[in-house]
Amino acid sequence: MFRIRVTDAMLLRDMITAISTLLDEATFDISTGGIKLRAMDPSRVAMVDFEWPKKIFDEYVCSETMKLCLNISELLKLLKRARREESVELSLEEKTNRLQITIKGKYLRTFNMPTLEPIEEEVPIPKVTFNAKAEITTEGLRQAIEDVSLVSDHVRIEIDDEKITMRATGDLMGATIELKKGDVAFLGVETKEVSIANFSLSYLVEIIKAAAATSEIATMEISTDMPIRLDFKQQQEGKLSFYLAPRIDVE
Amino acid sequence: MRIAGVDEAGRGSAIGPLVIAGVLFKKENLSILQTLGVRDSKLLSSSRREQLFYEIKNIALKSHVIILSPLEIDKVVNAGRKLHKLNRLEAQIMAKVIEVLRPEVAYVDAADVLADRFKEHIAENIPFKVKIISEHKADIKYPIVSAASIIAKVERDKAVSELQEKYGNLGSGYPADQKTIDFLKKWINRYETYPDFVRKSWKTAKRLKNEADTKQTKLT
Repeated sequence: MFRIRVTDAMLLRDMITAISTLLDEATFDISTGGIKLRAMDPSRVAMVDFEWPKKIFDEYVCSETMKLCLNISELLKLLKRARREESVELSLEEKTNRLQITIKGKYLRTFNMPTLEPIEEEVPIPKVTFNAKAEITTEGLRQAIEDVSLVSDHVRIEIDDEKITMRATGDLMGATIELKKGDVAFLGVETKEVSIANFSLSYLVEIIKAAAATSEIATMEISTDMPIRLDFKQQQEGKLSFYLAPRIDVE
Repeated sequence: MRIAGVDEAGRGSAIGPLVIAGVLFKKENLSILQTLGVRDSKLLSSSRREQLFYEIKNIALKSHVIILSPLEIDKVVNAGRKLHKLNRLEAQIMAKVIEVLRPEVAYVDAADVLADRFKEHIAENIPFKVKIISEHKADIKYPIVSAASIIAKVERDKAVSELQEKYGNLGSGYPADQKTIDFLKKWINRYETYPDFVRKSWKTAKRLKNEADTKQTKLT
């Protein structure tokens, strides 16, 4: 048996939106303790690592460990119909193996959708030793990434002892964005060594924009020419992290 | 008296050829152009341009078109300062067109900021005496140059639409066109080098190639 309920539909909608930046279909690991998901996008460039303990939900009923694979894009379409202050309940209809989505608010809506064959693959977390780590407001990060994306489609991120620097060079324009000690958006930095890596903005913009709706504080970890880890602090011990592989110079 | 008009199309484009066209008319027939509604090709719809293309060719004494491939353009552009060299090349090609048409007076749309210098460059490449009128915006001012601009534009559009049929949507070919940028980006990411219908010396093409020189890695 599996049934969850949130009184604020936005919570679920924002979480599914964040996952949907990388995945069209997602296999959730559901246990008595909560819901987890770890998956890579089809091109294996980025990974989402997500965890919501049962206490985030207003109601959480799970009788046994199971895998639940859903078409995220379809689910999102339904959730987008829900308004703030409306409650959403998801429950698994065991006989038919369909997911029932109930939105309660001004009126009652019940949708159902098929569950898919779960993907059994266990995805390990990338083994990276991060040499630089910075904490910033998610909003500040979102603004900075939107700034650089005006001039190019990739960005060079550097973290040293006192700041994060983002550089982009486009056809006509260039941009340098600094977030440093003393800035409102800047919360702290820890560096073993100055680290620099390049990343595709098409991924970063999508991820950060969606994650910003779920989180106020972000932690960015990098090492030179290694994947970046972005962790978006969730309420009540939830977890939402993304890994993104770097772009590296050819030759 | 035999009057010629010469103009080009596709100069700034990153994709496809540069087309230079000339038309030759008897002076007394020039007024027909106005009656037909010949105007600068940029002010006409593509279907209207095509219609006028045939009408102009019918009443002209002669017309001549030279098509410069991206390869030929790259060669001169890479040889020196881009605009300077391209202007020289364009003047030489216009001279060739005028040589074929053999007019007594030739009106040309000046590609150079210095219209008179452009005129000199044309004149020194023509083996006979001809009066050259080289002016900016000649394609708007003189119907005979408008007529040449229509021929050039229709020929250039033909070349681009042939590329479209073969390779898919590549937009207008101009760097300001997002479709063109997307097309070039996709191509360079897939094949690593440009095909021969792209002007590799163009800044946009170079930049996209540079960008493709950083490679997206994977997590596993």
